[in-house]
Amino acid sequence: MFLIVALTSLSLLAASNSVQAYTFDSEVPENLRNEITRDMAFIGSIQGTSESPLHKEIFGDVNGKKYVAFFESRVTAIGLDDCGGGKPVACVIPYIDSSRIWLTPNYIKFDHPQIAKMMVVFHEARHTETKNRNWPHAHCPTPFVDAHGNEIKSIWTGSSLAGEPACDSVSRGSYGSSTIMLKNVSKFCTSCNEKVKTDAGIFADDQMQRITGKSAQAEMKRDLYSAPFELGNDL
Amino acid sequence: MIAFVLVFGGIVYLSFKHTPEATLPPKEVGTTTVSPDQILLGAAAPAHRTLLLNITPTAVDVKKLETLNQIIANRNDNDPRMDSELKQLSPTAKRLFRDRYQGLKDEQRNARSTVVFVMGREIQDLNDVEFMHEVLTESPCHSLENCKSIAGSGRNERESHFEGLDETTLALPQIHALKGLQRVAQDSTQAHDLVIRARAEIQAAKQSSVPKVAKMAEEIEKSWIAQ
Repeated sequence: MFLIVALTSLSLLAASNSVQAYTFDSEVPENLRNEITRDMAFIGSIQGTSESPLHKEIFGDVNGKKYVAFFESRVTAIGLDDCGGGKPVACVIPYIDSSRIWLTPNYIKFDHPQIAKMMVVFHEARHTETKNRNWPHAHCPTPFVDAHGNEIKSIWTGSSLAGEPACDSVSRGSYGSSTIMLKNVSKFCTSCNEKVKTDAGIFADDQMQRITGKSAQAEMKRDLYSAPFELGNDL
Repeated sequence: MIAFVLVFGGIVYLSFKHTPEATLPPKEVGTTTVSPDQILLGAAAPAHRTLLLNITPTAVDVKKLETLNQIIANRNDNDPRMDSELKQLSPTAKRLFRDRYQGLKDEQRNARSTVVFVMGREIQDLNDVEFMHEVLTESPCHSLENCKSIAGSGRNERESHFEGLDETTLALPQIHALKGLQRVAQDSTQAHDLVIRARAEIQAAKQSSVPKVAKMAEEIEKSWIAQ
């Protein structure tokens, strides 16, 4: 009798481990659940050969299980919201629920690469950390320029992004951590095909522009853009 | 009868004439001037295309197209067949892939970038460069919802949050075209005319109306000048 109970408990435990730790709100349509479940399964399959020091600190190894554990230790539920309307694919609304990520229909509708969608999801997962004040963004500096001194402008309105709450002054916030994750995937993932690795590098390089604190920039350049990483764009 | 053959032959010739390229002024590439003839590869390009149209795809070509279609439909970017099967494309397979690209909606940015990425790994002749040229000179896609729509209204705070994401995805086919050309432009083992043409395309992309593409082209050019 004891053996039967023990075996049953073990099998239930095994079953629960194979099911994600987060739940879906009832409003989340099936196709959206399937999409993010598949995308998370891809993340969970990642294997890597090494990692940068900042990656080690934030996520551990370049390893799918570590990424999933990072996500599931922060996100308890996934809901459906328009995140203010327009173009967002996901958001966190701390004053409603700090451990919930909201997906918009754009998550499926817009044809972003899979790794880019995961960048957004992990960016938002970082925002759930109440112990770190949800890693608030910094206002982008004035002027807000790229490495060549060109002003960074909105592709929607053409106006400068200076002053927008869309930058990070630190390296370990949402922009920084997701940049670190993707740049490490681009360099060290052994289970990723060439397109995924190339895309990871492209999107990481773009997000790096949002790191505006001087010491954070220097730290991330040392971490991600020196050997064995290549300088600048993932060329 | 003779008149009919002459007229028919003229129609066939004119249908393949590269009119836009033939009017291009010579392009300056460093200290080397590239003539339009070099860019066109003389009369070989039109004849080559005529030949391709007359060649039936092999079973291997068709299988590769099916694999590409499955990868696009499944939205599983990390499909290992991207690397194991979608390489060593024959000229006919490339034609099938180019046609597939044209059949995708403009808004299918990742799907389009997948085709360009695969083709960009296989740039071997000026026809392949020509495809990259076509991608780089497409009309810009202004919105993931509708490429033709000039966005600007209803922008909220969260949109500036992830504008980089959207901007990059919108330009992703062009980014992969530049990366494919860059491989050729910086490969000393490649044929000289191919390198020249690849560099010319990258330099031309510096004038792209898409800021991200223009910036990237500039960075790529700086990287080979620095070498």
